[in-house]
Amino acid sequence: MQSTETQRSLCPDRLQRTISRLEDDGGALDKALADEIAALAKELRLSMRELRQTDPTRIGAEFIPTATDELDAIVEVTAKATGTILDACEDIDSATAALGVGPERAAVEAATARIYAACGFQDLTGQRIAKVVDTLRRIDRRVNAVCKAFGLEPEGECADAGDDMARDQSLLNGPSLPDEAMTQNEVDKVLAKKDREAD
Amino acid sequence: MGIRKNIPILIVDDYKTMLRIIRNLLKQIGFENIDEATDASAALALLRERDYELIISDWNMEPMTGLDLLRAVRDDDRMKGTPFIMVTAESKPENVVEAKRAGVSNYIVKPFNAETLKAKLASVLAA
Repeated sequence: MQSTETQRSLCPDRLQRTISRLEDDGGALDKALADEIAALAKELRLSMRELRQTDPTRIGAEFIPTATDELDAIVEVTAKATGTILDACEDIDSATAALGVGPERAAVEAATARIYAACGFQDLTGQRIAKVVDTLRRIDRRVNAVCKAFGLEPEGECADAGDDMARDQSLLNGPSLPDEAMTQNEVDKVLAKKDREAD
Repeated sequence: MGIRKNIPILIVDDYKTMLRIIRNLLKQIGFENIDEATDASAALALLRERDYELIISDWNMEPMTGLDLLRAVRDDDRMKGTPFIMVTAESKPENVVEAKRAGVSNYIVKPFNAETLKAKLASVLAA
């Protein structure tokens, strides 16, 4: 059912009534303009019918929650797997402590160090997934706004992603895409340059 | 690395896995006196209770970010000289510049390896 606000703003029938009143007003309205407005009303009526047929309320009520649940499940599963890998590496490190200082222990520790660092993938995938979830929630809010404008009440909305951080918002981008991210060497150059500027 | 290995270190990250990774890497280098915090507010509370000689922190945390923590540390007369390494996925130049402006001692981008961590520790702790 259309809201009163929607009737005032988007109702094609209202457009048609306006045209008719203007035409009845001693023919004051230019015929071409009236035809243009009538065509717009027809287009709007068609768009609203098509929108209702796609049932956009399901986007917020069903599709996006399903997508965000799946993504949350990915984070959970990868966290568990990473925990298992770390458990094993810590056991290996404990066992190698018994070897005493030597090349064998150094070799094993170097290998476990590589595994520890690689396990950082779970942090980065979690951050990338959080970005995707945030994007989905923004889409959901936009779709809900369109639904309300067309008088289609959504059945449910995604939980608000929460207020963006008040400070330094533009600096919080999470992991960059590989071809956009700075390497450690590039970071070091920026730091060195700032140090020289400060001297 | 000719540095005292028993210095108290605080590591801060809202991902417990990352805390565990950094702890294990520090342990391999020989640092065992390590405390952890999963958010910047908790880290600040620990910093007010105890003297740490190194802070290693993530940036992207809520509600208080690692950058907020860095600024709070540098604003405090008692702890303002504490070496502070940011370890973060935030890798744009403006991030590095802003962290430097706030007084970061060094900056490691994720993903990182054990050699990078070791080199940055050596650089910061020898200074």
